[in-house]
Amino acid sequence: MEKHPRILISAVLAFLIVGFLSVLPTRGQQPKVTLPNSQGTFYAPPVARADASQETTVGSPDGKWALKMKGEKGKENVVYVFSILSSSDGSQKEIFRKTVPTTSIMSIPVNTFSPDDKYIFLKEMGVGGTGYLVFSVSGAPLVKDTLTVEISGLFADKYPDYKITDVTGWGGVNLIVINTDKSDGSLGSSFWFDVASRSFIKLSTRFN
Amino acid sequence: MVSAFLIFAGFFVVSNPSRGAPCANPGSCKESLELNVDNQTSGIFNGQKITPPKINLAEKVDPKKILGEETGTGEKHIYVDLTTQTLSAYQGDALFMQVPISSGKWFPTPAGEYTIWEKIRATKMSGGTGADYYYLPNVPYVMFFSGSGISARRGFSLHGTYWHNNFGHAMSHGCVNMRTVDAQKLYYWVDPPADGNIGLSGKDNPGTKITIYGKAP
Repeated sequence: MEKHPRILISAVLAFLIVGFLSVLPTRGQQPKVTLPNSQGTFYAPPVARADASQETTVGSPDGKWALKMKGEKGKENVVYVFSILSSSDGSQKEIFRKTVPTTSIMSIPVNTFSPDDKYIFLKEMGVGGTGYLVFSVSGAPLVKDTLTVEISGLFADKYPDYKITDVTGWGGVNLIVINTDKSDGSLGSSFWFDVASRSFIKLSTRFN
Repeated sequence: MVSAFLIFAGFFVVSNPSRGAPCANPGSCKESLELNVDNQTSGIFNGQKITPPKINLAEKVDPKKILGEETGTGEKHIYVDLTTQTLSAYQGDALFMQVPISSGKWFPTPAGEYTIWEKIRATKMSGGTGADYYYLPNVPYVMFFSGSGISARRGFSLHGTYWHNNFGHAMSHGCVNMRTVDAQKLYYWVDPPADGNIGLSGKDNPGTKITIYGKAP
């Protein structure tokens, strides 16, 4: 008989706890959202366009620098010229140029600058696939006499069972974020590419 | 009886992770809410040392130089879409800003309706353990928000970011990371206005509303 009141009290308490928790302000609940209909100009960061005939500029996250890409289209080739612009004094310095066939397109990813503004990465889409070039903002060689490092080739040599699906930005001062698929098409890991050591680090979590 | 309580409490915490953490930056819960500038110490993020931007609190900033002449009318409202990792700021029907952000990866940014209760020029944020440990002095242009069951002392905020550049992708420990150049613009636009390097909302000085919605990929 004595057990019954205990069970009853436990049940009532449990019920009260659940009831109390359920009336607390809910967190993570999705609000209803209706965005205003807006027209006109507004502030937004420049978005890189993969159009060789246009000039594209993408700023660094701190607003101090910008990378400008200008494509000069010929009959068979396009010459891409990349320059660094300083927002403090308005100066401009060419740091890199590359000639590619007209079947290839170069572009500046939105997250191109490393957080400390030391490095930049570019995307090159061609018939043979997509490449990612890293180089120094100063225009100095990245490795001995080489101006750039190309990530895709290095990655394919090191991890033949994975395929790069996207290079999204910088996870740290030297760390480029790489997402992959496995060669069977399933979702692969994310990797860092450490520019300082030019090595890859396989990650336990994925950066979607 | 005790075990029943523990089971229910445990279930509740597990099913609602935002309740489990004491604050957005567990290593600096109280400190992060205060104006703090340290131009001597390095930061750490993702196992890498990083030099924070130097901040001079004595520097006078004219918001007009940052924003230009403001012509908008109506209520200011910020929308953070976690699905697209985008922040849109409106005044009335006019879109003031639309920029990529990074929401919580290691800890989810809570969806809900919020109001900015304080903004400060810079502070220190730390937390995480092991490889996820972070120590970040001089986090710039911090706009704290509260509401939807998230108290002010939890320290969730929109702020500038100097330690990564992976915007458009979840990358934070719960706050809304913005490019520093975008955060600066938003900081001088939102209410409450700053008195020096601090702006506190009040009855006659309400903060800008924020709606956070969607789900981070």
